[in-house]
Amino acid sequence: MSVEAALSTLGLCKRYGAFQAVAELSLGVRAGELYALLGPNGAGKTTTIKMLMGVLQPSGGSARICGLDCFARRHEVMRHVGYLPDEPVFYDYLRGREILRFVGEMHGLSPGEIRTRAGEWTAPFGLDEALEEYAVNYSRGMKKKLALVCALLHEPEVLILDEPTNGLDPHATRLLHELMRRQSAAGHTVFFSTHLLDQAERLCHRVGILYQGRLAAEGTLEELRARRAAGGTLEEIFFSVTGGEQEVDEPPASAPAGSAGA
Amino acid sequence: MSLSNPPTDLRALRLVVSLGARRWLNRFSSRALARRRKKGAKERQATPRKRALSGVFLCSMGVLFVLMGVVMAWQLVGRVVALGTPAELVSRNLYRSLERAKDRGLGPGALEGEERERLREQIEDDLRNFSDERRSQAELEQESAALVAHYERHGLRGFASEKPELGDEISWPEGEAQVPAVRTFGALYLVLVAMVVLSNLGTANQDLGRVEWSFEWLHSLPARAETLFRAKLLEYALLNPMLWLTALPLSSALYLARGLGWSALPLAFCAAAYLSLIAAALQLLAETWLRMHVRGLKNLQALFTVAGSILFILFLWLVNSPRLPGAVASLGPRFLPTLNPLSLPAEIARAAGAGWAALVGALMVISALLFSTVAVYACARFVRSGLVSATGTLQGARALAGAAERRPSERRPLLRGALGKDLHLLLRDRNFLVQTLVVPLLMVGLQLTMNRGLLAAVATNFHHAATLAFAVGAYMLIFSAAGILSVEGNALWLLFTLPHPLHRVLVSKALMWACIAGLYTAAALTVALALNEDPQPGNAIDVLAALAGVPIFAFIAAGLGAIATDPLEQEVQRRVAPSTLYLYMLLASMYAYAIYTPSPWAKFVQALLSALLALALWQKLRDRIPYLLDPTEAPPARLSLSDGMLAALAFFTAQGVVSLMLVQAELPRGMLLFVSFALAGLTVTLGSLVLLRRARVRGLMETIGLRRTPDAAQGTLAGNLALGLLAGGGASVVGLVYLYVLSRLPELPSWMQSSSPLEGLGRADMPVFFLLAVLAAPLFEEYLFRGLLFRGMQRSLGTGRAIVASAALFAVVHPPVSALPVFALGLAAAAAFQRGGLLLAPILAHASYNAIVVGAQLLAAP
Repeated sequence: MSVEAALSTLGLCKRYGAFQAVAELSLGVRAGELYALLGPNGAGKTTTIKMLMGVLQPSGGSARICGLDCFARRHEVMRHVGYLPDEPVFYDYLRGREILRFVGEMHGLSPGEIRTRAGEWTAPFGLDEALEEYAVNYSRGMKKKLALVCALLHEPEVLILDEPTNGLDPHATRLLHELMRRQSAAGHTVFFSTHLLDQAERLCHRVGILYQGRLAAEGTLEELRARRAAGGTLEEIFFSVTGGEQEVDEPPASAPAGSAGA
Repeated sequence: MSLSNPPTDLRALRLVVSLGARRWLNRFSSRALARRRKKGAKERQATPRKRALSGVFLCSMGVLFVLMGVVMAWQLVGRVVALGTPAELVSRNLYRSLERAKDRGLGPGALEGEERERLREQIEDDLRNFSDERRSQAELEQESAALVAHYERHGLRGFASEKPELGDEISWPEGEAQVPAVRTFGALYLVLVAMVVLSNLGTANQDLGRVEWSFEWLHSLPARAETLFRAKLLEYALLNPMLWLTALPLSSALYLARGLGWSALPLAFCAAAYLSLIAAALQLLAETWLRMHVRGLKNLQALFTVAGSILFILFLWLVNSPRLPGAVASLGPRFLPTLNPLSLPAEIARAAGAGWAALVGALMVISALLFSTVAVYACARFVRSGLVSATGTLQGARALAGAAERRPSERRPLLRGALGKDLHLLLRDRNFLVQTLVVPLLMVGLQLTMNRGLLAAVATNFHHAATLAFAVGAYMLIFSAAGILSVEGNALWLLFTLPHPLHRVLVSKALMWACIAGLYTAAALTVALALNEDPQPGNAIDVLAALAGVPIFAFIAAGLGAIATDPLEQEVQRRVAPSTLYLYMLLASMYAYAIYTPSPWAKFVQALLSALLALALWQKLRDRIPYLLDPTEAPPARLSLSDGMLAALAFFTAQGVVSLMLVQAELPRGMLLFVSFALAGLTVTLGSLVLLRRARVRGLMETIGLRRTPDAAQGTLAGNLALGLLAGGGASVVGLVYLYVLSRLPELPSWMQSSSPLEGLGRADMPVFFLLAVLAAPLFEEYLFRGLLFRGMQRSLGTGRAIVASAALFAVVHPPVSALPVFALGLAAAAAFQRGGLLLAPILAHASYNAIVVGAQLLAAP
């Protein structure tokens, strides 16, 4: 892939009625980069991701993946993208294995290919036995793992993950982080949203902090530290950007020790 | 120390109920309020949902349904009331003849010879023409003589009409004679409640084995289980449209016939409320017990669906059959005790004094309380040990019992991709399987066995058989094809992540259902052909019409269903609006009627119109697909085929309405035609332009051809003129040749023989008619057919096919005798329009064609 950005947005906006969910968002992610989109609840992270997936039409601006417009040419873009939603929902009466086969067939893979590629991922994630069970009976973490395997089947150049570790147990979380690093090393782009600041700090190359629909800060950790002149951790940078530096009142005496609010 | 201080039971009940009410209110008012709030309001109001079909449409359908119900119920009451009396049940026409006889003064008592014979002949005629059964001449004479004798004995009171009209009087019988009527209605109520309970258990519930998330959430609040169940009972009782919409008209008609006057309506309301409370109690009890004590509920649910459908057919048959068989009418009352809880609303109608009424009223109150209390307490007891009997979640790597033995079945699936997934889901979901594949067979089978006349009609009249075959296929499509989008449910996001245009996935689904329904129709047609005693070549047209109708209606059902589906709707039951079902059934019955009529032209016209309707629906759907999961954005307005079709429909309706209004003015025929045409055309043209401009369709004027685009490809004014004249000239040549060929034929084929527009016009009308043909008709018709319809089709069909299709549509709205040259004119005009770009071209083409061809006909006419 050339120096052209694998994933980019230009002036991306989204309005729900009178409410501006995302305003003038412009960012670019190069191939092989790990980009974390941070932000408090309701900042517009999921809306941005849905616009990248072509599910929502931007009210203004554009989003491009591999040079193709995400909304106008959604089905061509989807060949290059693997998506993990925040709360995956699957069909009632299909087994996990059948869902994998369906997704693989829709991407044009042969049954043998599907079996091999899925097999690479289901064993480490512990899904092998669960694949025989109806997906409607999975817990939230199992559904996320299944959705992740679906996203990886066709070896996409761009991975878009919405709160990827939300609901995964520690084993799976570590596995996922390794996977993200390996994908990035292989030249694939990984774009993910999260509000787990320590994980983002350890993992990503660049960070974008979304606040009230706008990109309040962007860049590598070093750049952010230099610009903000704040303390070293991402947490402190985040608070200074999102104005969350509030003093917490002393907890009442009856509360158990160590229950500091954040 | 927790602050929670749970309220009393009554207050908790009130809170839960008002929560439900507030949800309803918010749902319906979010749209209206969102517009009224001032801009810049601090708080963010709920995003109004895009609505596919307006609330006005739904309300009017509901009112229509209730009115139809009242009419049908009134007819039923008339028939049932006659059961205990010596009244003879006769057809409506026969009853009218007897009414006329009574008005003439032929009262009860012996009639004179000549009058008697005349009356007997009239009765014989009515029996022959308006009766279902076929009788021989001897039987007719015998029966009519018996009926005359009956009339002499009892007068008009000895007869009752099978289909009484709302104005007709129904005399409530006295004393013991009213018992059969009351008992029959009691049995009817029983069937109704059983049907509603079974249907709700089978089809309305998403999954019998699962608890609604809202119910589970309410259980986490400090309210007693009894209170929550009481609230659920109220919800089931109030939100039961099937029961309310059936019981209300039925009871109102019954009480009105009984002579209760204005108090009939509130009483009917009480009766319906009572029945729905009992039905709700039974449903709640059954649901909770089944969920707690039974495994494998999906199969059971399928059984409920089947049972509910059978009862539904039985109920419909009982209500509609002209002669309620005496056996059924007496069987019911024999096996039911008089005062069983479900028959109490019918017992109110019994005129047996105030004491009886008080007794019945008290019993109703007692049984209502009994049913609800038992249901609530029993349910609370069932869930004592937990709301759900077994957890369904697979936690982590915990192996299920028996999972190790279950070998992964690596069978090759029948179909790959999206179709394979849908088939898989169909086969697994037994309830859906039964609803889709089995119930249509059931409907037809039961109809054929119960209605012996139908079987005979199907065997002798092939039109009948082909209509039935089509109806089977069309019925099968109602649940299957209409659900192509709603069956995706909340997993629609998965389809958005795949590298296929969603439109193509939906088309392939519709095609699959068309094939499956086509199998049903083909099988029915084969049986019909085998049974056919008298095969004719004309039968092939019927076969073709029935088979062609299936894919057309598959796409209509799929289009309607997909457009009416709101993928963002959380509650699964509310996903597809039921009004689309009624619209679909209306359209399908129009097509079925076209198969039934012998004229092949009618079949062709209906097929073409239905196909264009399917195209219009899918065009709208295709526009919407990228915005399916977007809560606020809607597709930009573009000129669509549906706009043109609505405008054409409005034009023809307006013509009829205006000419009706002008009948008073007593104009000469030619003038009448001209004025109504011109007025209708003007209104529709201006009206449609205004509406389209309001919808902010981009480039409207240029598309329609009323304004030149700055594009160099547009012809000049002179160029358009030339193109128009050329096209008109070419088409006129075809027209003149056609006229010449026709004049050489000995006689016209039967299907072409219909009234020519020139009929009924005198010499004086000719100039006005000529004006109409050359000035008004080209102007408005070209705007409609080329400006709106051709352009609307063009963006989906491509230019070539759009030219042919718009010309075909143009041809079918003209009388069949002129279809061919008019088709040629349509082709030429559309081509000229495409080339020139202004409406001037086709208008001139049409005008010149009319001038030449109509002028030739006028000159040639004597």
